Amino acid sequence: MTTTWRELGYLTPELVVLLGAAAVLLLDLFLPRGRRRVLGGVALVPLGVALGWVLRALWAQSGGPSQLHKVFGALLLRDPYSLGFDVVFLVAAILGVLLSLRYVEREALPAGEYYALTLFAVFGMMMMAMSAELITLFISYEILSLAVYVLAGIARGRAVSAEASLKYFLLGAFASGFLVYGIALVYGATGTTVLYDPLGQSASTISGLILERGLFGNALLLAGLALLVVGIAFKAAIVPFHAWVPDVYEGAPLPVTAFMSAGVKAAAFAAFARLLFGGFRNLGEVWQPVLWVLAVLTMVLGNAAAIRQQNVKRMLAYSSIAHAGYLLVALAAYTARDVAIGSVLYYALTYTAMGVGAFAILLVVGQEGEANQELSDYRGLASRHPWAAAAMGLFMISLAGFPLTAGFLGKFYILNAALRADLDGLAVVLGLASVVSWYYYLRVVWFMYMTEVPKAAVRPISRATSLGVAVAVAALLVIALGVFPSTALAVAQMAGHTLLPLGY
Amino acid sequence: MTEWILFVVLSVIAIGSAVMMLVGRNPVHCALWLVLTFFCVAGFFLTLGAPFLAAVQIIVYTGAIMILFLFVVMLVNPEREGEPAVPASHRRAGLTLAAVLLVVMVGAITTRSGLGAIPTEPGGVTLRQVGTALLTEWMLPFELTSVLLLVAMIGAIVLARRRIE
Amino acid sequence: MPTLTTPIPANPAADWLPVAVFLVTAVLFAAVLLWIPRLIAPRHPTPDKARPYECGERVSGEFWQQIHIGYYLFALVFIIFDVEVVFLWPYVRVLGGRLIPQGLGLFVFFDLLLFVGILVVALVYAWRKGVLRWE
Repeated sequence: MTTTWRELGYLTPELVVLLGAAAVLLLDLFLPRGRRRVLGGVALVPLGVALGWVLRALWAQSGGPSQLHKVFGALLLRDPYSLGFDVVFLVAAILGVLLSLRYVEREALPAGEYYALTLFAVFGMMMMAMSAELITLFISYEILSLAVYVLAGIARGRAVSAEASLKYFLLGAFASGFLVYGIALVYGATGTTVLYDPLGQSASTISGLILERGLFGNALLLAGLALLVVGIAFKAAIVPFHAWVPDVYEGAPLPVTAFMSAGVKAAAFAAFARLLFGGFRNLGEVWQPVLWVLAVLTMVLGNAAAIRQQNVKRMLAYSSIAHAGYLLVALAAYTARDVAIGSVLYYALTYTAMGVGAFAILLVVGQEGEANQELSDYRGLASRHPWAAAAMGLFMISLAGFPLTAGFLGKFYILNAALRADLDGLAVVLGLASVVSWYYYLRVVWFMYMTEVPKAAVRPISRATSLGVAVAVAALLVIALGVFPSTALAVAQMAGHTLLPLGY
Repeated sequence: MTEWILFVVLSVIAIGSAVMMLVGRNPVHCALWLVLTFFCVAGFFLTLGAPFLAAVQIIVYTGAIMILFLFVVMLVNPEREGEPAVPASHRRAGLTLAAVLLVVMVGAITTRSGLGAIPTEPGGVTLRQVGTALLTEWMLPFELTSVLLLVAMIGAIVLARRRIE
Repeated sequence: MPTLTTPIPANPAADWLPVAVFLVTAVLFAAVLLWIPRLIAPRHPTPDKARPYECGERVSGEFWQQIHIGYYLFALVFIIFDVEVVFLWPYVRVLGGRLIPQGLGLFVFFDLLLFVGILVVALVYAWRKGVLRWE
């Protein structure tokens, strides 16, 4: 096996982000303390460059034949699927950095480490989306995890932040253990850790060997698969592996929560889909019922818990669990093939826009801190700050899945996949869960528009430009994905086709 | 025959010291029993023809990780001996889980379900083979590991340091 | 004697016989040295004699003292570089030359350079943050 230098070219966006992380880290060491505020801006450069490269690569393939390259043997796949998820991660990270600019300064967080770890986390996510081999997947998963554990606890002065970080770390280490154990068992059963080969050049992959040796009822393989699912379900915040979510989302600094809720979940689902659809497709009849149950549990419990919250931050944390349930529906609909994969990617992108957007408004109303997160703080927001209220309203109705917003099309696409896969029951649960979610999303809108607040109780909001830009970008994305979805849908479809090539 | 004797001796010591670690009252003694278990695991790797793993087991686990364990023990538990009582329900849950795991493992081994799929090297895996694999076929995970170590380093310093300048 | 489905190499442990002999000898040697005094030395313990030896001074303070938190950070940094050494070690074995004829020599060299380079960043970071300085 020879790896040519040219192959490295396919990794340009990943390498740019990695170099950016190292640059931010080293710059921090040699800059005088007063100048460190520039680090956030420096961190935006590699993210922007990488996003540009990815979009150009996707643009070049649209309309023409989609390109699929194996990098480093069969360890990584550079395909429209990974490029599409790179867009999700990079958008989440850019919005996350924009939200952090003032926050990091105000809370006196260590700026160099903060932005460097953000970039390392993005690097881990991008590698996860490309991994077609379990060891590479695991190390990428760990790079992402370690960076995010530290980010969650980086505000060391606040006890809740330290507690969040510790809980996340301990449970996360446990989940990593499940993942490694799963990899070991799968390797024991098959003798390889390569998931699949979409070009059909090698049969000694997990997917190929399951067929060749007829490992359908192999206990070792099934146990390994179960452990792999647990390891990834933890990161994806799927019930019953979600216990850490509310505490960590509440305890972590708000910009980190915004970045985590979108980016980490998208990365987990990117790996999840590649693992199940690529490596274990032939065991689909085994894992589909499991995902079915997990999806129902996640949707029901996530929404039921979100309804009870009076604190908007906690409400968004629980509702993000519910959204993981919607994504699971798409995974369970594996017989819809590329439609299912495309809907995962499309929904991940829409959730990033509307989820991070909603967290951005929390920062605006909370004056870039953890203050004013109660529902009552949103009383009469529309009359005082019509733009902020309008944006929040947009994010809420999109999260609820109203027509002409990104969230509606995302859910529609997932429902379409579920119906094609004859999962009518799951589709009904998804519909009902959405209706329930209208209650708690629209309650925020109602508080903003239909209630008034005495003048004396009015609290100022933040008017920082960086926050405004982040909100505007997220809102534009929500509208664009809802009204002109064709480009993004085309990319999602292309991603689905290349993940599962014809005849595979 | 030698292998069989080695296996039995190592197993008895490994399991015995693991039990001693669990029932011990003094945390430092427990840590030392764990060291002995790790040594036996390294012995298993040797008899299975994986000297590199055996060395890693000793260098990383018995060397570095155990030192960290001891530091933590000395850090948090300077005066009292023993530990706060573990609720009986936790003990029961732990024992149940361990029993389930044991049944699964024994089941997997006795039914030989799927064993034998792993390609083996006659005469064991040499360090040279490990090195060649790491630097050619597995080069990418190898490089990613260094990124992982860098992130771990930053994390350790950010979280454990008293004040960051 | 149970047989495993995976064939175990003929006798990989044979190479390690000297190591095993060394280990056993070391343990026996220490045990015997501890045992001989018990056999021949007179034992008349008094409270003073039973005290732990502390350079002839009277023992003061608790035996078990809390260690400084600084050690912990050192241990963490030590583990990270320990793992790095473990990864470098197989490289030293392949440096013997088998790879270079395959035309991979330069590639492998840069490969390792990158690995070490990333960890140099870690070292520079730790150094500039003052982790390597004892407070």
